[in-house]
This record gives sequence, C-alpha cells and structure tokens, in this order.
Amino acid sequence: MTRTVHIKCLQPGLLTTIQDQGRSGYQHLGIPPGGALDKQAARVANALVGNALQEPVLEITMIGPHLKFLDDCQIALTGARIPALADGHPLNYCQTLMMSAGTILRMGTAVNGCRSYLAIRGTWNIERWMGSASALTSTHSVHTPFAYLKKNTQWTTQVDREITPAKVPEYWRHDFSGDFRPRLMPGPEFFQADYRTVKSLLQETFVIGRDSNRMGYRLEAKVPLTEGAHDILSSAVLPGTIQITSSGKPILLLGDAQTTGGYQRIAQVIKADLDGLGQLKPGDEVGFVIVNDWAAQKALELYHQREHEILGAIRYAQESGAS
Amino acid sequence: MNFLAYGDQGLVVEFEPKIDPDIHRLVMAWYRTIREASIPGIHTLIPAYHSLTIGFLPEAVRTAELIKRLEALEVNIDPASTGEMIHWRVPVCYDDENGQDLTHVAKMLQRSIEEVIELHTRGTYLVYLLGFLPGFPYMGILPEELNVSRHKVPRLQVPAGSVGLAQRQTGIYPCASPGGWQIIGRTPISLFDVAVQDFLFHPGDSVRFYSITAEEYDEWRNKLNGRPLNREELYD
Repeated sequence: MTRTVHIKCLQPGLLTTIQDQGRSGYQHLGIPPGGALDKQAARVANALVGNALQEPVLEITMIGPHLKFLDDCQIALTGARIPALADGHPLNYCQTLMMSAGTILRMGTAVNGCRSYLAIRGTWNIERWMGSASALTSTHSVHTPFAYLKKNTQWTTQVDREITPAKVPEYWRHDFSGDFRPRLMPGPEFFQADYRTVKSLLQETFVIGRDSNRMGYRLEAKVPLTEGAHDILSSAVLPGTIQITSSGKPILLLGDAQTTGGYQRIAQVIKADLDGLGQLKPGDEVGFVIVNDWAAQKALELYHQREHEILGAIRYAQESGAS
Repeated sequence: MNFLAYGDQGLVVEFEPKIDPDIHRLVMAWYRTIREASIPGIHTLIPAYHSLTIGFLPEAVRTAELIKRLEALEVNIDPASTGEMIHWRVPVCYDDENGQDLTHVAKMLQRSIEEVIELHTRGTYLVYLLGFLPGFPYMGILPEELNVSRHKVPRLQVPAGSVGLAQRQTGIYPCASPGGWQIIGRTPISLFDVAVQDFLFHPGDSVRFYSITAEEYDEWRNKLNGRPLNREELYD
C-alpha cells in the first residue's frame, strides 16, 4: 500500500528547480547534462529520506522557497547552510525530519554556500525528459515544464512506509567557509594558450561575476588579463571547463552550459571538485591550483570515500531501526 | 590526427581545423567506431566540425589507458560507410512574416528575395553538429553568395522553427530562444520527434530545404497539431 504526499509551493524563492543526477550521454544532440550542481549533496539528501540516490530533489539557490506539506512526510536538507522554519521551529540540517500534514516550511537566505538540496521521501511524480526530471534553465519551459517552481506549483510523491531517521555525522558536513581552491588539469588548448594568460589563471584570485547562473560563472580578474585568446573552430565543452574569450575574460562552465563553444578551453576542473563549484556564489573569491592525473585520481578516491562513509552511517542508522 | 587530454574526464580526437565534409566524415567514422567498441567508462561522444570529444568516468578508465585502447581500434573511414545517416527534405515558408530578416538579408546580399530562396533551397547541407540549443543543427556549407554575418545584438526572441543564416552556416531553432542568426523563413515541423523521444537531425545527416507558401505552412501546422509526425514524409 502506498500513499500520496502533496507538496505546494507558496513562494518560489530566488530560483528553485527540480533536479536529479542529470541526463548524461545526450550532448551530441546539444542537450547539456544538467542535474544538481552539487550532486553529492543531492544524493546525501535522498539517502537521509531513504530514496534512490538519483531521485529528484529541490535545488534551492541562495534565497529559499516557502512550501506547504499537505500530507505527513519526511524531508532532509543538505548543501548550503540556509535557515529554515517549519511552522516557526528551526529546522535541523543534514538529518531526516518529520513534517506533519499542514506544515509550512519557510526558508531564508543561505549563510554559507549557494545551493541547498531538499529531499522529500517517496517516488516523485514528475515528468522526465531524456531520462531526467532536471530543469534545463537555458530552455526551461520547453521540455521540462514542471521543473521550475512557481507560486502554486504543486506536485506529489508516492510513499510506501516511514524510514527511521538518520543524520550525517558532524565531521563529514561541509561548512563552505570559503577556503575552496578548485583543482585544474590542462584543457585541450592549454598548450597553445598565451603563457601570460595561463600564468594569470593559476596565480590570480578571481571574483565570481554578478551575471552568473547554472550555465556558468564569469571570473572577474582583479588584474585584468590583457592578453586574450584566439577563438577556435567550435568544439565540445564539458561542465567544469574554463574558457578564455577573445577579450581575455575567463568563463567557468557549469551543468547547464551549451554543449559546444568557440573559445579556447584552457583548463578543466577535476571531477572531485565539480560539486564544490555549485556552492560558489556571485561575489565569492576563488583561486585555482593545477594538479596532475595522479593527484586528480587520489582526490576522486577521497570524494567517493567521504560519500561511502556518510551513506554507510545513514544506512546503519536506518537498518538498526526502531529508534 | 591528435589526441588532446581534456582534464581527468575528457579526451579530444582532433583533425585539421576546417569546416570540410571530408574531415567531418573522419570525425563520424571515429564516432561510430568508438560507439561500437563499447569501451568501459565512456559515457559521452560529442562530434563537431573537426573534433570528437569523449567524456568518460575517471573511476573506470584513465586518460593514458584510454588513448592506448583507441590507438588499437581499426577505424573504417571508407567513404561508402556512412552509418545510419538520413537524407531529409524540410519544408520552409520564406516570407517576411516567418523570416523577419529576409528582406534585410536580400538587401545585404544585393539579391532579390526570390534569388535568396533559390540559393538556399538549391544546396544539400551536412549536419556538422548539434549545439547552442538542444537539437539546434549547424548545417553547411552555404554558397559564398549567402554569406551574411550574425546580428550584432541578438534578438530577444526567435520563434521555434525559424531558419537562419550565419556566415557559411544555416540552422533551425528547435525552440523559441534569444539568438543572433539572420532569420529567412520558418519550418512548420517540430525538430523534436515526441514518438521516438529524439531530435530529427543527427550529426552526419544531410538536409535539403524546399519552399512552401503561407497556406501550405498553415496546412502543415493543422496536420501536425497534436499529432505525431510521419518521419518518412520528410525523407529525401
């Protein structure tokens, strides 16, 4: 026997979208992979409510939504630290929470980080397109019409039973305190780029520009990179690529970026650091460090080990049951 | 041919940087060969004009090992082997209402509107890549007589189905979007085939356009309204 949980959006916040782990393998059709920008935070939120890790979640950007839960349900909040009140009571972060029917959840403005993830227990009754429920913010209204939260958007999840509450151990929680230096490896045009441009990229500190979104961030140099780069014949780009425009402006691409581009692809953020890019917000300062393939491999092992331990702790709490 | 490392998750197979059907044929030959070889860890293959970008899981394979596996492949570059490429014939209504820039384009090229339509419908164009928007085909090469530059300031809203020109390329907007291409007409067909959940045009396909009247455009729209497209009607 399953029951239906109804959720209603009273106020969408700055930008709240439905995101899962994205749609990989369609870039040859011009479809960006998309999905939660901090994928691990989305998976951990789902684990806390006992969902499949690739189930959709809400991706909340800086200013959170107001939601009403019309039925009893279980939720969990991960990612950027954002104050939230459930009928006036402060909500605990990184743990399974019970919401009784009629509860109104009001979220404030993120304190640390940029994107928070709200999981709701159950299978989400949301239309999929090309294998994913993720909103594509570049062309959002066309193929994923319900993935963009608006006032009065309503959707449901299908729940079988309640899950035993669990928590993410304190020492595994990110605090997004700002000492994140994304690690880079050379991109395809690294060796044909002007050496002064490469030197600046690796030595300067950049500010994430105002007009940044899920497609990409503008990296504003404190000392402008006077040396531009020559354009290339359009070729594919990946999330995490740093391009240099012909006027010398670096751009850091994210999950919703278009799939091809004509700017030099100077560098690529390693896979272990992609999630962290989603937690940078306009005005943040960021510097980069270049690593070799061995270091990238070790970083990725640590990334998976952290997740393995978090999911292990959650599963242990859920299986040791009746708390 | 070169292999270029692309961080810890990508590798580019790159050829001579030219917009050229023969070079694109090499790209597509590598695309098919790698897809059929089903090498563990590869999750994405993105063909473009002169490059094939491979996305892979670094948990499953590392760059050096992947290059070794690719070097061992036998790539069939026989020009007769074109895979499952489709020849399309696409109806377009070329007029001022559907082609906001048609009159302006004709003026820039110092040709009559009829000549512009004749030049655009005369050629058979190769789909080099899809990019910019989901399902947006970059097709070429246009004759030099149709070479116009993009709008300096992109239009805020170009309707779905709009057919545009940009230098020696022609393209179709799969959905309404801001964009800078010079719009000369519009096709009544939807580029996304709901029945098979896929876009019509794939890299390596070829496309020819033919001119329809505003009445025929409306007939197509009425016929397609809510009903699935019969793909074969568009086969050349």
